[in-house]
Amino acid sequence: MGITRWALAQLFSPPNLKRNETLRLTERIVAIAQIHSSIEHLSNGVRKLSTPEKQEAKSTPFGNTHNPAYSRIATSFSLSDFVHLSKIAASVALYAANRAKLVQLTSNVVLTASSVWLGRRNHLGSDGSDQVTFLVQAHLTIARLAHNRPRVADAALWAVALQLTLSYTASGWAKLSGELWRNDGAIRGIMRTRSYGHEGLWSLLGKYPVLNVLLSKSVLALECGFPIVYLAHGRLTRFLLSSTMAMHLGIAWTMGLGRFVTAFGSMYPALAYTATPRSLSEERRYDALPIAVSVTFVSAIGLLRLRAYSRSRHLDAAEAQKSSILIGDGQKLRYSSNAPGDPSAPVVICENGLLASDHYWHWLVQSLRSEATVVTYNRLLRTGGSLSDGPHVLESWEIEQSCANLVRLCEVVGSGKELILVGHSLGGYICRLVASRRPDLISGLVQVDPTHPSELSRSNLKRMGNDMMMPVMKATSRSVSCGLGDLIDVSHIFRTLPEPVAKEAAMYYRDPRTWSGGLREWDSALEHFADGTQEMFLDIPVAVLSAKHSAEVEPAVHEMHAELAAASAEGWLTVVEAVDHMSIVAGKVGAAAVSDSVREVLKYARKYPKALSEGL
Amino acid sequence: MFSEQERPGRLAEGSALVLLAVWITITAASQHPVGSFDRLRKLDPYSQWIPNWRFFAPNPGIHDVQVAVRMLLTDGSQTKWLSANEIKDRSWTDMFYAPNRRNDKKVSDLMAILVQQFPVESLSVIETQTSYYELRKLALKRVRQSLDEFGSIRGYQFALVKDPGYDDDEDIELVFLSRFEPFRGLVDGD
Repeated sequence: MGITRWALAQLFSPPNLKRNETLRLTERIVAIAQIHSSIEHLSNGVRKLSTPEKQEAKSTPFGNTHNPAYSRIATSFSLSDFVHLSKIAASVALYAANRAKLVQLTSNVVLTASSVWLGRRNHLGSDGSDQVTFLVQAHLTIARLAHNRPRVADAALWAVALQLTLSYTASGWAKLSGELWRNDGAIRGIMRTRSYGHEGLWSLLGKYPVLNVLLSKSVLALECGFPIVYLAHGRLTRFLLSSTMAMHLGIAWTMGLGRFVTAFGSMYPALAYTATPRSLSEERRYDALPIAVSVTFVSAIGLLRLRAYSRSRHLDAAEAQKSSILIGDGQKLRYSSNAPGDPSAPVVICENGLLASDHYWHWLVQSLRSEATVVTYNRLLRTGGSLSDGPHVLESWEIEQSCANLVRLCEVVGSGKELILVGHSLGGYICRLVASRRPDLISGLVQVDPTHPSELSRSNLKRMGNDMMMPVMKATSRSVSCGLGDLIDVSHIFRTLPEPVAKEAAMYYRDPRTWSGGLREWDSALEHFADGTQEMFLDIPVAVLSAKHSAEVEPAVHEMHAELAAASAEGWLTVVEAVDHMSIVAGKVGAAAVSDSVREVLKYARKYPKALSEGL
Repeated sequence: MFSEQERPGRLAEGSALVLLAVWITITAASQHPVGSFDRLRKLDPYSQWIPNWRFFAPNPGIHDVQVAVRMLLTDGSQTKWLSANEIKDRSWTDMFYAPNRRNDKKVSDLMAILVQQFPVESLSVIETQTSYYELRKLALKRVRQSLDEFGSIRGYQFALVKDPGYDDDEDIELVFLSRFEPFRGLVDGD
């Protein structure tokens, strides 16, 4: 009992490290981690993956490989190897230099600089342990460069400790957002792999599901709850660090990731130093960094929210410039159109895909503007009676509501004229519904890589894609509502649009209304698909355009598009080369194909206006 | 507030504080579970300065990535699928020393990069990517190693598959199949 009480007392007592002790301990552990990593690099085959089979003369630091004196060594020796040897030397010096400040500083600088250089060359195949050792090394360099000024040293140690806390916390919360982790399937799933798994543990976890659940929940609890280390006056430090170290040792044994033990272990002294209350410390500790981090963090959140608000106002102002029509409940639907000069010119109304904005139609508008009135709009951005009102009524994201609004738009802008509907993706589905219900209004239809109501039941890939997409959409919607829209990377989404247009499209994409509306709209669409009673046959010319890439990835898409084309009195399918689902509308090549289809549909509608309805 | 002598030191302290606070904030802002929120990571394409703490999360890898290659011989026959990246069996020494893990990780990284291109790029564009080139080199290495066994080789094809490892209840899944590539001998791939 006495020993147990003593052990518990030790486990739950706050550690008491001094600043220099912490720095030295950190340096020694990270030096071991660096040596470990470099030895593995030197002896392995990452380099050999890229080594040509043919022996050729190569230039190396030791001279040309045809030099008989060096040929055997130099053939397989590169500059990276030389840098790794330097790292080992610097690490040994760092480990040994207890008092030599210049050696400590030089070693840290050499290790940090060489890690930066090697990071670019050995990027593929690197892992979390490499990230950690670089981070620790860089912070130690900052501490030593400031000639151990106590405020800077403490800031660097606090930074290491906070990064460690962030690493466990972020890892835990990211795991919680994954279905496999929530269902306790992740650890067993990893263990079944040969590269990171362990057959014995995989079998054991399968044989004893309770053990599997316990292990899974323990990992999540430990990682997500790690920040409490700072709430218990240092009393939980040893317990939590022992627990996380046990986790790393377990990972080392089962997954072969031994480098994580020393890498993460190198951050532990900093955590132990900073988690102990200042009142228990024998020397003065400067705790300015957590305050600085809090201020920076709050300022960053504030800035993000301000930008989100400003973006929203900008969108509302842009919408207010547009023409408008009244739809149900006193709302206004705003739209843009050009004036082609000829009042009898046909009207082309463009219906966006899910989460898309009218900016996607830029190239199509440019292409058709002289020959038709091209109407574009954002069906999710409806406004109330004035600009200062709230922009939308939440319950009206139903597909039927969107169809009704499109019919209203057709009646206002297209009545008495040749009217072609062009719909992309989900917009293609909406257009088809409207065309089937109001053939009196619509002269022709162009569906661009359209959503097919049966695609989720006929395509495993589409169904899996939808299952993966829903949680992502929900998480995105929540995050964007909190003001994090600025953190979304949109560069690859709008790369085919001109820069000013892409910028506007990005604003729309980052707006919370896009995501909350899109989520509700997609939910409604799924119910609509399931209903399965929509009339798909059309008595008007229909052009269906299929992106070559969509068909390559999922051949069933091509079949479904062909069916849509065939389900009309006169329909045809065009596969557009070198485009994907987005660039078929937002790119020049895709837009040119769509324009051509619009012209073809118009031509056919003019040539045979009655023949179709008479069922020739 | 500070003397002339103190100012440089205080400036260094203040700068370090700001640098470290911003560094941590940017790192925290780059840990969103949804990958599309990684805009700030463009500042650090090699993930050195902005570490990625989302280990095995939110969706851990539960498959081995295998590069398989088969060859068409000059007599018209074809070989069965051969592995181009043997995954070594786990040993207790891997706890302390496992240089081969980086190879496995590299292949996994290459496949992840390549797969990201699939929804966006066509096959002809994918074939120009560095990740495709590196995987093709791996396949070529296997082809060259097979010369002694099979003699003259006309060409080859490689595949990326997801293998469920020790779990025999699940089939392997084909992720990517290359075109038929003619083999030009030992100079091929230089």
